[in-house]
Amino acid sequence: MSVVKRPSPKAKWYIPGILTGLKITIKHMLFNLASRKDMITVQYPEEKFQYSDRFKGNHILTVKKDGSLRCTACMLCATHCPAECISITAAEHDDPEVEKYPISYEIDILRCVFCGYCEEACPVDAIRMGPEHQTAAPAGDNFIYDITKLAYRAENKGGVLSKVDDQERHKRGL
Amino acid sequence: MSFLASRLETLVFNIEKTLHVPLVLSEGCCTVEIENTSLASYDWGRLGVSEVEELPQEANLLIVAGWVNKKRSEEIKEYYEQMRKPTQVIAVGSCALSCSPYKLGAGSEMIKVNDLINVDIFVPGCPPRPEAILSAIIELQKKLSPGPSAQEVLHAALK
Ligand code: SF4
Ligand code: SF4
Ligand code: SF4
Repeated sequence: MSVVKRPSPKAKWYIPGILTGLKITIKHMLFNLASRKDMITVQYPEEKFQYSDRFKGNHILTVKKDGSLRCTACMLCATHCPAECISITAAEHDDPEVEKYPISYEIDILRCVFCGYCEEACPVDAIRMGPEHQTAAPAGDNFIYDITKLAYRAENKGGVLSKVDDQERHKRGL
Repeated sequence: MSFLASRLETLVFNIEKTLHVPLVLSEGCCTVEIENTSLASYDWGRLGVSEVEELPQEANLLIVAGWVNKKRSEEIKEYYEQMRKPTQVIAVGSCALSCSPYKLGAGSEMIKVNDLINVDIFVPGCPPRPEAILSAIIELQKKLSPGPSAQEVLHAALK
């Protein structure tokens, strides 16, 4: 036999219950109205969320001091990529000190999973995961990012300098 | 009277066009980001997207996220056919866009959403940031009503 305790007569009144629930809502509403700065909502197009330095966003191809690509077309990133979305065409460079360079470097952004393995694999800091969030685009847009987009887009301000410089590496005997 | 009626009709048409009633069909980890976008921290209600709808007959914005296999693809098609026209489709995440990081080709169970239905906006990323999903909604509005949006006009006027 199960004995069910009858609710007390006070609990039958649902209006105090509703008001107790509303108290929390109204408290939040008044708090938000009083100090709009502390509101947790990010007002996206006007206000940007500050990502950490390790954020993995759209790729950046870094450049040397003269503005050409740092990448040496060693294919380590393309081999390492779990989504197999990097395609590189290498070509011989006129300068005898530079072995090869990529004439085309394409990332299929629809297949990329933003894992950052390409950044880890690269021996010369030629590719980095940038600080911008992923770009949504309508159908018919170009989803295969090429060198112009990866290295010289407007957000990069003419190219991000690579940390590795040729002369220093040669001096260290690398 | 006929003038007023036609004005009312355009008004209703514009409201129907710009009010997105979303139906979310999502699997996998992208669900978390979509929930995050719809709730208080990013709040897509600010951009004219209403509460998430359960009935396909009432929704006009389909958001597909996560992996799609054979069984799931039939479900998505069924939902899409029942939805209010014109239907807009946003595909979120690499799984839905290109089956990545799964392999395509022989032996693959995965299907691209774009092969099933017409996708309007692509949101790459695994998972994309909530900002990317919000910017997809902004792109969608730009596509539906070209020219400066009311928000941009207001900002220009305030400056
Ligand atoms: S982030 Fe990952 S998936 Fe994207 S290109 Fe780099 S290695 Fe490939
Ligand atoms: S980006 Fe780095 S890892 Fe990839 S090909 Fe260029 S140098 Fe090699
Ligand atoms: S795209 Fe990435 S985050 Fe989204 S469901 Fe697929 S594996 Fe998960």
